[in-house]
Amino acid sequence: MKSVLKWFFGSKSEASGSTATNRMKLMVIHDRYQLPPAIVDQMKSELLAVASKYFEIDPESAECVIKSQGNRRAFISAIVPLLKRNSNDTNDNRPGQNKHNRRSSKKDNQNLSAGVA
Amino acid sequence: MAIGKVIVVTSGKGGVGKTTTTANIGAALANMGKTVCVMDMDIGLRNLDILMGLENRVVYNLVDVVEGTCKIKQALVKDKKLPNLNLLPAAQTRDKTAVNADQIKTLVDELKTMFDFVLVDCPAGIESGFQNSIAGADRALIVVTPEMSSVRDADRIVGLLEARRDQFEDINLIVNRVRPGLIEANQMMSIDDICDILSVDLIGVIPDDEDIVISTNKGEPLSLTTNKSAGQAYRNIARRILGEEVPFMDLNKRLGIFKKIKAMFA
Repeated sequence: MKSVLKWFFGSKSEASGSTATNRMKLMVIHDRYQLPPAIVDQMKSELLAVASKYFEIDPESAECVIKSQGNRRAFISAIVPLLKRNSNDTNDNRPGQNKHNRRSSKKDNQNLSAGVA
Repeated sequence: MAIGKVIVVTSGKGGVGKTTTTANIGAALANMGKTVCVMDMDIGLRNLDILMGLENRVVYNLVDVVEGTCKIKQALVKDKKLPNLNLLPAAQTRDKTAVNADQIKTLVDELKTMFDFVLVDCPAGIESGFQNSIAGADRALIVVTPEMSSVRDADRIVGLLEARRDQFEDINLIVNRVRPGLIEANQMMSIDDICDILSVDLIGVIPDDEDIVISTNKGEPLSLTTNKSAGQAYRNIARRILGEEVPFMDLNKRLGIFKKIKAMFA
């Protein structure tokens, strides 16, 4: 029914208004912070490198994006799925910390989420 | 001695309707009894005189005033219908470097003592013409159309104005050439989205209106001659500038039933 009506009224299939809005939101952030996409990629790989010092991570499903916060500000949103605690971590050897670390390592696939204003 | 307000009309991108907006809001304010000077800062590419229908009456211009060739009053051109509406034309044979920001600041400070409102029509771009135009402004109106290139350029302008936030009492947004049918069909950025992206308070929405072309041909600002559509929208902005609470027009009312149904299935 709806497709018939769509055909009858000859509508365009894509909602280009939303496409424009989404492109626009990203574009103004890149403009305001003078941030070429390559820098975002570089930052993502550095953030992942830091996370993988402490955890085995799944880089394929990791996500690092810069989002608008309103008020002409943006924030970095990084979602890095954690597989397990990294046993090669040399900072781990301090006494009293092992217990805590062991506990957190049990929570496989826990997400590490960082928000920076 | 009136201490008026200097309002700069700017946009970044060219061709989005700064000059039309200046002429129409200036005329609307004058029609409400205010003394108004509209000032063309697009030195070398003047157009405001055409929209006001005053191109044949221009003798001196803004650069002549700055250089001391004539007095301000000699350069001002009175509107044909409204004696309290005046145009200060730009020079056509010079360029943006003919004046500097300090000179314009001095000039608008003087004009403020003569008029309730001084509307400065800023040239496109973010270079010296823009810097000169905002030099003495108390308030800014940013004109944007619902197109990505216009919004992006406006965002640059917002950034530059925000850097001098203390200078401005208000920075407001006018969304021009809105086509409600396209927004309804989600084929155009919505007013809310544009305001959201730019983080600037809205002061007016101007529907796309063929009558603008006709009024430009005649040299009569639409806000003086019609209660419909864009003319009404400009008058509403003038009232909001004067501090009145005026509800925004329901642009969708103008859509026919067929278009509304069409929008539902777009």
